[in-house]
Amino acid sequence: MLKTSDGADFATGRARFLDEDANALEGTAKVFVKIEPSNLGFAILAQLDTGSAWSILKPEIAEAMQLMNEAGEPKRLSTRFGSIDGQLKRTNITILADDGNSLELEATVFIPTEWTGENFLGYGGLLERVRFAVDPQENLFYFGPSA
Amino acid sequence: MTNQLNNNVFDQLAVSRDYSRQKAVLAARIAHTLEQSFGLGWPGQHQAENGERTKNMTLTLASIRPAAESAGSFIESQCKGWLPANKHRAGQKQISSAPVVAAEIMEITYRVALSLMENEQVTLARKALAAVPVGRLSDPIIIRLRNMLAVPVTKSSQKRDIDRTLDYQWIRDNAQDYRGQWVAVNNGQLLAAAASLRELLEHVKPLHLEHRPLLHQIS
Repeated sequence: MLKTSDGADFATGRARFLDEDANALEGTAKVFVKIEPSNLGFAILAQLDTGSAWSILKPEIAEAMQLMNEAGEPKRLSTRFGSIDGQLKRTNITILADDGNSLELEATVFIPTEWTGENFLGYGGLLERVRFAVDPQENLFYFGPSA
Repeated sequence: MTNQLNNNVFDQLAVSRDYSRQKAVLAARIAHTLEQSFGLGWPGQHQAENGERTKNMTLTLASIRPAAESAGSFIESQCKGWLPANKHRAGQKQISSAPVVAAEIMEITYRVALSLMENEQVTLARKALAAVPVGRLSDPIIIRLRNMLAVPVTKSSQKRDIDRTLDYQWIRDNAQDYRGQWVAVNNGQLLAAAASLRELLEHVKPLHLEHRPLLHQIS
């Protein structure tokens, strides 16, 4: 696993990522990592997007997580699909490792009322406390808790 | 205080970077003014938060009042340039007691934090909320906003998934045939496809497999 210059762990887990989505209409490569939202019980894919202010989960997934009835903060999010209404909610998400340890996060995510896009892992409320690195040659995503 | 605050005057103003900066500066000044003027935290706050504040609690109300009025004037002068007229007029009413000022400052702080959050200025919103004193943190809307703005909490987990290289390859090769559908794939094979996640889960939950499938919607 990756180490810092002083020998401490930089990453405690790694997983192979999907580096393209065959359905991506614009045809640009993206990094999809495996996550398991709490109460879902299955792995799903979420696009890594450090430029996104918040993480986004599809409403269907939030429903399966039984998250829709939880209290949230109403919000309008500006996206490339336009302004989207939804709610910010606090929930648990695990970034799944193939090797090493997975990483559980209590994070804030945006649940749109309607959404045709992908799931996103954004910086605010989630990635801001994750150390991560990408090996594009091996398609490996390294990650670990930020100190 | 109610959720009506979401629709207050701050939200009706045009969003701009300068405006966001103004709010951040105001929030910081409010916090600074409180620290300097009151010494013991917010007026009306009856419980000591730490040793220093316990000491300061010996200050008399007489010494608090001028500071409170000073803070009220400060906020009023700060808001004059960018609050709509009706809010401005409300700000001109005479401040009669420190708790009233405290409530108004808290309301402004909350609005500033909310507005910053809406403009994706998460770090600044957290800083603005940090100006709310411990004694006011039990307010439900403050609790909710602090919860949403809280930094993520991380924990290592022994949970582990399998290498999904074969499943990724299946998605690359077959996505065009399953557009709009939810699919469950495992070991490079399609286990189920459905129009909705709920329907897909009905198919895959009863399956007893060594490894759970990867779920994905082909958009």
